[in-house]
Amino acid sequence: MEDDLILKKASEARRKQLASMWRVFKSNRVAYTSLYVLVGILLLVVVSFVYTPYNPYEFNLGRARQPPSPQHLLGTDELGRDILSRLMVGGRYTIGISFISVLLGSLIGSILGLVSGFFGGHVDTVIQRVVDVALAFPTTLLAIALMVSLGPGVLSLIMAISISTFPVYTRLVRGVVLQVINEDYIAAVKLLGRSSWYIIFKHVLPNVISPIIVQTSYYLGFSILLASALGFLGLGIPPPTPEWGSMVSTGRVYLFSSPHIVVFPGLFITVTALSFNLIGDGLRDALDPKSRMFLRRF
Amino acid sequence: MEKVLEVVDLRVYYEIPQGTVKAVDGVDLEVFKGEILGVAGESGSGKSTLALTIAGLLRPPAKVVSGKVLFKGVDILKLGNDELRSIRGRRIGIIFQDPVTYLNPIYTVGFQVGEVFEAHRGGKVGKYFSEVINLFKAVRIGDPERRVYSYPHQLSGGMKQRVLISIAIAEKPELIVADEPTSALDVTIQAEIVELLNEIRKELNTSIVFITHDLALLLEIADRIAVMYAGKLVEVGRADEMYKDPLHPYTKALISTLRYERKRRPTPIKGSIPSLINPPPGCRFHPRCPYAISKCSQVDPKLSSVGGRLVSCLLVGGSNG
Repeated sequence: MEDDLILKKASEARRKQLASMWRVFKSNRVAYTSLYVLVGILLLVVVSFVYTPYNPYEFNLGRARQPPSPQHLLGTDELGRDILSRLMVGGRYTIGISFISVLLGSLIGSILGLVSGFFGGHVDTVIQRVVDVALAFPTTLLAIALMVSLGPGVLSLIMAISISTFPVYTRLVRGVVLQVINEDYIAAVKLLGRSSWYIIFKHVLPNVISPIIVQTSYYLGFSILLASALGFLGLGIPPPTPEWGSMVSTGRVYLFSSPHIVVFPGLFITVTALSFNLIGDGLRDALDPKSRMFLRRF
Repeated sequence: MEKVLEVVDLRVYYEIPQGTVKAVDGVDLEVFKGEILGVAGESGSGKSTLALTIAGLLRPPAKVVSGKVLFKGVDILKLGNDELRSIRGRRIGIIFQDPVTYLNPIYTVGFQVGEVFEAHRGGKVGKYFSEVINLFKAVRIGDPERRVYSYPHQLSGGMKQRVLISIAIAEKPELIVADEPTSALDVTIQAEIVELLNEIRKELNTSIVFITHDLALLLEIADRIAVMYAGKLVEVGRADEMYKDPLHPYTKALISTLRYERKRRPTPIKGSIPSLINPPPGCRFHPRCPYAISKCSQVDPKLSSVGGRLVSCLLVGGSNG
């Protein structure tokens, strides 16, 4: 009985904490607005699974390159396909791929960083040298090289982006871990005889999690740009799949006669990436306990 | 009286590139049941090393060169990690100087105290919350039902030290090693913490080794005081007697700095604590001692009994030679 009550109280305290994080996040107007914009874009993408205004793959050369109109809200492309429908379906690929690859990259990178920082010694040396090599290439260049060698396709796109993002996580996490493991409270837990994995996951990881979350939010924006860039260069998913980057690429021929073919996909890419970045700023403040205290006081 | 702890001829050295630091160099000490033994000394006198050794917390480059630390007759220096764990934190509680760094900022204090129970007895942390609340009551944390859900940054320094004390007494230890428990706190909070330790001592009939550089504080709280200088004990005796009539020149000098009533500035002790890598020959205090005679630089005095007290000085008792 009593334990139930205690657990209830504990979850209540947790809720309060989350509520105060939310308050800080909300107080950052730009981040808050970005969240709405992003949710709107994501809704469009989700809706595409059940409804699109037109079939995004269907040619209609008679209606090619029409400017925005009530029938085609964002106009049609060079083959007469409805751009809005294509953007909705294309978002699945662009956003989906960046999500999966950044999650993968952050997961692998963070685990390597935790292990590297916590155990140190030879493990640390080996992991850090691998990271050095990966960081030696500019991220975009590395991704291009990987795409060329892996060949086009969804899977290789995911691999290329996650391989080019993980080293930054490893560095980031290792740095924070090195700070945390020298704290006395870690020494105290060690003295209790707890296993290394218990200490890593229960005491070190939670201290590292907020930089990881913030970095992930930034990287989501970055990987959308990266995925689009690869698509633009023809290294992404082969046509006719309406990936945002390749839409910009095919439309660029008509940049001056029918600019909407390029502008709308470009806008979607920019707005989505920007939203992720701005949300990242808001998250950084919200996850910092000091800024929460500040808000409470005033 | 029952001995809880006996330190026999303990020598703890630190091997560093500059040489061997003889932080604790032949210390003999006894702690009886239910007493507060104060260990006083300047910075660098080896008192914290002594505390860490008693608590079984020595880490390289510290090395026990010789001696025994008998806790209830068991030499804890010879125990393996698992056996040590069953004593350290359970039968010997430990309180540290800086309460801030020993609490993980991301967990509630209730969780962290509960975690100690979890580690000792198994089960889930949530199971022990009622016990944690009782502990918080015992260390006089106001509104314990709410405080267990506080994060460390929401508590004051004194509160945090109370939380750490609650961890130290969680398993009703027979001995508490308190290494400068009040040095990081305000004077008013300091008085409260000292009072709390005194109450705990009475309630649990536990012994406390109270280590501090604050001799005035020890004179109030401790039953007996051991004064350390440069890795050695210079005088051990009852607190009231030592205050009235300090025997060793070093103790004399220390206590004279405490007497303000003569309306003069306290007399500082000239010089500073000697290098523990190359301690002066003979009595380690002789370069600073106003009473030193030539023999003092040749003969190292042993701790010997003078009127119920232990003193190591050639000029006192005359039993050295």
